[in-house]
Amino acid sequence: MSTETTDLGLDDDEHVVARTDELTEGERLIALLDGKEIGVFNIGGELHAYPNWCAHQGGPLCEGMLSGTVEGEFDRDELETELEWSREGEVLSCPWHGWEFDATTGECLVDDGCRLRSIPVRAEAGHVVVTL
Amino acid sequence: MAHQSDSLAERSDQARQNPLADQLADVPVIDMDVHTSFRHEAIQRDMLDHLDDPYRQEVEYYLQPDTSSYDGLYPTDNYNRDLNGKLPTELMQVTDPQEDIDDVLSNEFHVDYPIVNMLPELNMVRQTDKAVAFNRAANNVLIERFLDGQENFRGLASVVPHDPAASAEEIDRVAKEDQICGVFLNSTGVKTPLGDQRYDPIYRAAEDNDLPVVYHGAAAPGLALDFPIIQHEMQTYMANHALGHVYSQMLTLTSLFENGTPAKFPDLEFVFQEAGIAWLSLIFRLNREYKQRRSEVPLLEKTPEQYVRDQFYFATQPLDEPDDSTMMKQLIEMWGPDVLMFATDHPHFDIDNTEALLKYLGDFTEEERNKVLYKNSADVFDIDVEA
Ligand code: FES
Repeated sequence: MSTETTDLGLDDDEHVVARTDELTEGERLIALLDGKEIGVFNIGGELHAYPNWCAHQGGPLCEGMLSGTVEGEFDRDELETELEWSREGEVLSCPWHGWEFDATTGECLVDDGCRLRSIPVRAEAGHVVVTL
Repeated sequence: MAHQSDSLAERSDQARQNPLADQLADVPVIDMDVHTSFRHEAIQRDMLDHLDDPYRQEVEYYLQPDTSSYDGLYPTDNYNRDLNGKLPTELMQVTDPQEDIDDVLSNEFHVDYPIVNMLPELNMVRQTDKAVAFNRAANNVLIERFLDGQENFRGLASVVPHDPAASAEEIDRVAKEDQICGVFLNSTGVKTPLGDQRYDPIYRAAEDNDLPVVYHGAAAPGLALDFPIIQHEMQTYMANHALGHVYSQMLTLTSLFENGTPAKFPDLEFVFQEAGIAWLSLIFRLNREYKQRRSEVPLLEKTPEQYVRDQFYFATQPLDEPDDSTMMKQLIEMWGPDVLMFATDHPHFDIDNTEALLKYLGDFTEEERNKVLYKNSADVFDIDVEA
């Protein structure tokens, strides 16, 4: 997975994890780098990477379902609640306890005190490069 | 995406990079709540060997292809439990003791001694002789499929409260098996709360055989019987699941005290699973009631709290989650490491990671930590661990 391409002239802490055409929009991969599992996501054309280690209890978060979430709004005059499906393709749910995370920011939707550590990732010369 | 079971095993290296995990390498962790996938076809096929007609025919019918719509065998409920795939209700199917329990639990959760139960949930099978037959078969499958040949495994034998005499007989029978270390009861789906004197034959048999009784709270279909409002009137599984375990355990605990069960059977130990520990403040309320109305419960010779500290144990799973996590330490301190036992609840979606518990035990002494991680369970379930 971490076959380095010497012609990119990468530093020791930089790792090629895929070709960019292997990680198209909506796709993800989990790379093993220095013994650590890193989830790399292409969400709407932007790359994001996080440890595959949930901030709650250490579950394999990056393997969870990437979908959307439900938002609700209460209209006090009408006494009506409206539900809306939002952020499709951006919300990562941990397969252990279902905690929801915004996969574009690492922000946890259920606990303010908790967020995923973003790992630098970029596209360079047709390769996806993660810096540890 | 990797299959869940594969990934759980593969992630072990990363787990060990957590500094807390290092402490666990030398501690013989006991997990006192591990389930099998009772309704899985492989286990149902095993059941056939231990059932006579007509119940054997029933399982056989159910196992034929194209009879999947037949759901009369075991009761179910109608909740959307897995949020359309966001939150799988089980992390994996558990049918093989080595691959699905030992490998996963030891790699991912540092567990050395799993205490396995079948979780057959037969309380809602109203036909008494059928429930008894299925239960007996389930215990045999537990022994043959999951315990035989797995030296570090222990098992909880289920009983069905419908028939206390048959349950007592079943306890005498399974107690002959070395690896059976306790009696398993579902707290939900019982018509009469579990402290009622009609169940005394169960408690006497457990005490005679030196087996603790373990109560498993649940948000199972059985809730419909005990708490119809929860099952029929609450709208979400969130509500059902939050209340189910806690209410069913509260009812059971209170019933045990109002009937004096711990006083009737002073050598019996009572273990409660899967409701966390925050609900235990009920005991203070029971203290108060006891002090005001002692003559209603004359068998009790001391406060409920004192009985709890002497004869009761509580699994930590699922860890409660106060917004201020330091309160978890206070909760643990309040009950004291003497009454708490670690459990994962593998493979269910309530699962707790050993490291998540350890996070809250940092301020306790090593001896206190070890009590929660294995010593209390080792004492109560009589497991000889090589520390
Ligand atoms: S470990 Fe991810 S939600 Fe609990």
